[in-house]
Amino acid sequence: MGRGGTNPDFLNGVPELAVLRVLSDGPQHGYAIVQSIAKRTNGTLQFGEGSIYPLLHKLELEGLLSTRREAVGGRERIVYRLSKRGIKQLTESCTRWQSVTQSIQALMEGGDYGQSPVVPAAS
Amino acid sequence: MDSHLWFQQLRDALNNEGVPKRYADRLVKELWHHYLEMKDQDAMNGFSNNDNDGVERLGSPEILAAYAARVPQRTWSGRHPWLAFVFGAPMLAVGLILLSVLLAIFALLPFAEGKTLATDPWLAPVMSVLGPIQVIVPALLACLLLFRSVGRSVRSPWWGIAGCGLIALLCAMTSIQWAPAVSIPGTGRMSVGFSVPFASTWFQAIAPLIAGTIYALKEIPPRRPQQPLAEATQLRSAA
Repeated sequence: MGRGGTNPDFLNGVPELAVLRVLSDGPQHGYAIVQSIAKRTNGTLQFGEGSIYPLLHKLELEGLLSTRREAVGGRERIVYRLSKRGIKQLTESCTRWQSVTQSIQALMEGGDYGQSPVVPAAS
Repeated sequence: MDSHLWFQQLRDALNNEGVPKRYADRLVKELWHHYLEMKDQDAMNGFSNNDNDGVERLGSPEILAAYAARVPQRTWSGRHPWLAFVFGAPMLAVGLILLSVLLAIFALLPFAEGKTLATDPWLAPVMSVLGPIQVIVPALLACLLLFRSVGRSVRSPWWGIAGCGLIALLCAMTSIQWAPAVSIPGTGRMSVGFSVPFASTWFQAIAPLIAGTIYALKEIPPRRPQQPLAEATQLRSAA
C-alpha cells in the first residue's frame, strides 16, 4: 500500500479477497489488516489506508465478517473476524480468482486454457 | 480528533455525501485510531512526527466519503428507510398480531371448547390477560426486529425510535378481547379491533415505549462538549 494513494475501486473484487484472505489467518483490527496486506503484497496494492474501513463495514453488512470491541492501551479497537459465510465466500472467490489468473496467464503466453503455453520466439 | 484539519474535512465531506451520522461517527473513530497507530509506529521507527505525512496515507477525505456513502446502501432497509422503518415496522407489528390471533384460534380454542365460567372459573383471569399478551408480545418482537434492522443498515437510531413510537401507537389502538362462555358451552366470543380513542388499551403501549427508551439510552450517546485541545496536537507535543 503506497503512501497517499487513494483508489478505493482499484481492481474490482481484489480488496475484498485480500481482506478475507488476511482474516482467514485470525481476527485482526483495521490497522493490522492494512499492514498484513502491505507486507504480503510487498506494497503492490495501492490505495489509501482509510478506504479499508468502508470495505470492512461493507463486508460486515454482507455478513462475511463479525466484529468485537476490544480495549488496548486505553484505546478501543474493533477487531474483525471471518464469519462462516465469509469462509465460504473466500473459498469461492479463491477458486474464481485462480481460474481468472490461469486464463490470463494462458492468454498472455499465447496458449489455450489448460494447454501448454506457446512462448513467442525472440526476434 | 474533530479539531484535526483532515478529520474536519472528512466530517464535512461525509456530511455533504449524506452519510448517516451514526455511521460517520464510527468511521471517523476507527480512522482516528488508525491514525494514532500510524503515528505510534512512525515514532517507534524513528520517523519525524509530521501530522500531514501520516494523515495523507489515509487517502483523500472526499473520495473516502464518497466510498463510505455507499456502505449504508448495501441493505434494502438502508436504501429505503422510510419504507422499512416508518411504514414497514407498524405493518410488521400488525402482521405479527394477526398471526398471534390465528395461533390462538387454532391452538387455544380447541383447548377451551366445552368449558364455561360455571365449570372452570379460572377461565376469567386467563382470558382477561390473553388479549393484551397477544398485542404486547408481537409488538415487542416487531420492535426487536426493527432495532436489529436499523443496526444492520447503519442508519441513525432515530429511525428505530420513530418506528418504535408508531408500534406503540398501534398497540394503544389494538383491542383483542376474549369473553368466555358464562353457563352455556359454545357461547364464548373473541373480538379483534383497531380503534381511536384507546381509553381501555393505552397501557399496551407501555411495553414498546420501554423497549424504545432502553434502545435510545443504549444507542444515542450523550452530547459531549468539544475538546478544547486537539488530541493530535497533544500527540505531537508528547512526541
